[in-house]
Amino acid sequence: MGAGVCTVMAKHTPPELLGIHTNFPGTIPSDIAKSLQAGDPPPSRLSADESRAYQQLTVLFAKKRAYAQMMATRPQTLYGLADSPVCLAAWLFDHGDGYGQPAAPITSALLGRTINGYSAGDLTRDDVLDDFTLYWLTNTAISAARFYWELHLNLYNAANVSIPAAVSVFPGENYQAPRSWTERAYRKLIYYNQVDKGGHYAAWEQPQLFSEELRAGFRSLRSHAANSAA
Amino acid sequence: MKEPDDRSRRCFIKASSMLGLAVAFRPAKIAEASADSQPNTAQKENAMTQTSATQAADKTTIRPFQVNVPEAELTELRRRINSTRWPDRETVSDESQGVPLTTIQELAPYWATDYDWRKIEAKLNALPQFITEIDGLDIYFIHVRSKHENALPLIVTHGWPGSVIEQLKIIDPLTNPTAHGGSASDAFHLVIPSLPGYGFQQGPPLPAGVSSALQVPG
Repeated sequence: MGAGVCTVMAKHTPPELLGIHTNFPGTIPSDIAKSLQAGDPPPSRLSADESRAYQQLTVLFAKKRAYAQMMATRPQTLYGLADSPVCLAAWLFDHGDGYGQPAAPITSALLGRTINGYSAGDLTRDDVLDDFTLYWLTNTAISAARFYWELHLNLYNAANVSIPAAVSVFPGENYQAPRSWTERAYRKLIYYNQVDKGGHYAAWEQPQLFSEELRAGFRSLRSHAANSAA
Repeated sequence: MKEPDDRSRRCFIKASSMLGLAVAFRPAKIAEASADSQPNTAQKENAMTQTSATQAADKTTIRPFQVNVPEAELTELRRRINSTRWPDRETVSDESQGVPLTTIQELAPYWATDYDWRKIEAKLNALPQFITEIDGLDIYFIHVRSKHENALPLIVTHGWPGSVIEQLKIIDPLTNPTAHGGSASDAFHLVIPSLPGYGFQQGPPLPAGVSSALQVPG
């Protein structure tokens, strides 16, 4: 959802905005989106990277997005989130990534042991509970869920962003955006990199790596910023 | 129909999302908010307080913010965890029906006993936190400036089911890169806001609250 907000800001193209970075890019070309919606097998012309992404998206759309559909259509009905901490924790916990649903690093963090070989990285049980407890104490699960109802953003389809964009692809994300699709969806792609560890919660799981990605992704924009200021 | 000031505020938040020349927050404005402090009784619930809150008329100033959850709220959280009515366990041996009962039952007792909210509260309160009203909505944000002069302003936006808590570990590497294997020329000034409806602020009372602010052009 944060990536959706980033995309919307990029599409407004305010002059002060030099560029964006995302680790959750929307890249699906429109013809591929139609095939996915129809439930077709991967078109034969796809490259290996594209075909893998297609398979990942097929699983994602069929099995992993119920939470988002519920929040996008009937957020108010989720009263249990405001009334029961355990209900809230389970609902927040059950967000998947490419390694599983719930996201494997979150499970590893919560249980304090590596699950199915997927490390929690820097994430701890307390980190995850801090986040859950914030939702509880502020009673914001329903108002946050309503964000989906209002925006109806398709986070996966080609973003059509025209300002400079940097993209980092993490191996544990729900799908690995192929470079070919990413170049078409972000027409001024200034950086694209597939890193070797980290999932959906990249900044939380791998803060050092994520920070390095931001530095590298934006490096080419800095000279531009300095020139404009002069 | 928007007041000119309103438009510039909206633009201002967008500008800081980016990397740009816009300096996100003018120190003078923050000082002004501090000098003008009054207790604010309109605070949402009682889960948080503003140290230098302003009167309702000054909602659009940028006000320093601190988190201070009353102990009774934490006691109530523990009580509710301990009185959970559990369902039967799932009928499969994997996660195909949802979060397994044993997983959540392993988590719950820790959450109700040893977990300490005050640690994260102290971490947040050690950071410069602010709240201001933009287009009629309270927006909470963390604003950390780098000591390096040429740092670029950057908004870091969380998503669901995250929060600003997700972004705390990258603050030091990004604002103080020389302590984390980077060079001074890699530095960022950070603005880390809560999305509308999330965290320490009120949710939009009407659908237009979010949609108008985030409408995709064309």
